[in-house]
Amino acid sequence: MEHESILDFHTDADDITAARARSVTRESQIGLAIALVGSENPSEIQEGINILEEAVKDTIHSEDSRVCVHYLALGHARLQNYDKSVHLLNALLRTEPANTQATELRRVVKGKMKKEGLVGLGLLGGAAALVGGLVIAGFALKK
Amino acid sequence: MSDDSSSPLTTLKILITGESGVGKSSLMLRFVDDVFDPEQAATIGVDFRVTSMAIDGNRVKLAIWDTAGQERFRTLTPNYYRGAQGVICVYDVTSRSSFEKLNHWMMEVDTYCTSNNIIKMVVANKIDMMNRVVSREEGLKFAKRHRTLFIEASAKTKEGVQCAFEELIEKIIQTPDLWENDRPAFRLGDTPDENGGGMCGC
Repeated sequence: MEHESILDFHTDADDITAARARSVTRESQIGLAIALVGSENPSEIQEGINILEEAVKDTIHSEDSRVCVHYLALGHARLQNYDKSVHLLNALLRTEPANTQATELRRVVKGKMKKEGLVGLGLLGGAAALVGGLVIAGFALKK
Repeated sequence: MSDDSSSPLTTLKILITGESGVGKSSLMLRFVDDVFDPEQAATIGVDFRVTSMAIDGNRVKLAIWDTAGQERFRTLTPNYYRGAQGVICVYDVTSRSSFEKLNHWMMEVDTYCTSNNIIKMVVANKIDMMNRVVSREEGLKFAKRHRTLFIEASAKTKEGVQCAFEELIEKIIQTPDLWENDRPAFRLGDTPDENGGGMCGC
């Protein structure tokens, strides 16, 4: 498959299995979460998000927080929680304005929001046109 | 730079590896966006950019994977290598340890790359710095021994950056086994120009 953005990057099931077997320390738990966020399976992505949300609460390892927040944003984007993803990326960019990965991911996510938002509107528009058409047809029949 | 309206000849996957802090992201961002940030933050996991360039009149799409040098992100390494046609191993000419670690990175390429004839390039970065400790000769010798391309560069001053990517892509294009499977059998676009030719006989 051709990749258009980092959102298209997937982890292999084998790598997730291997990461599960290793996930004993905090470090390897985060490693597992990173692998899970790349899964094709939404419930595994959610599992990764849950691990990262726990890890990010641990303020002793604050150096991990940029890693956790980055992968949280990636996970939410892959679950199409675009608002949540942009919110996290904005927070990341407030502390690290020069973070090009976050800037690029935000650009991709906003693009998706716009595209999928327009698709949604298009569908609504189509439905409205259909209803309108039926009403007009109804009128025509009455006459 | 290149004609974006024509469909590309092929899409190539290029991987950038090397020790943490040698300037992998800086090389990629100089090449893709023509920018340089001296305070470039450590890459989280892997970064990814798509760009295109013209080689011998053909447009080639490039998917560049900039991997984090930090050990903690190496669990997904095999994924990064899958389907790559070219790999750039970077070291920093002001850091002997980053040069000595090249052996490790070359071994990783041989372990994980999925095509036997993947094109390898060694890039010696930061040649603008005054405190160089690895000479050009040493870099060249290493590259010869490992049969890789070799270029000295500076992401900061741009020197050698464009040249490095061009040389790598050219070498890949000259190795059709690496990419020809992806190519559509026949492309209408390759026939003489139908729109703007002005030589139409009808």
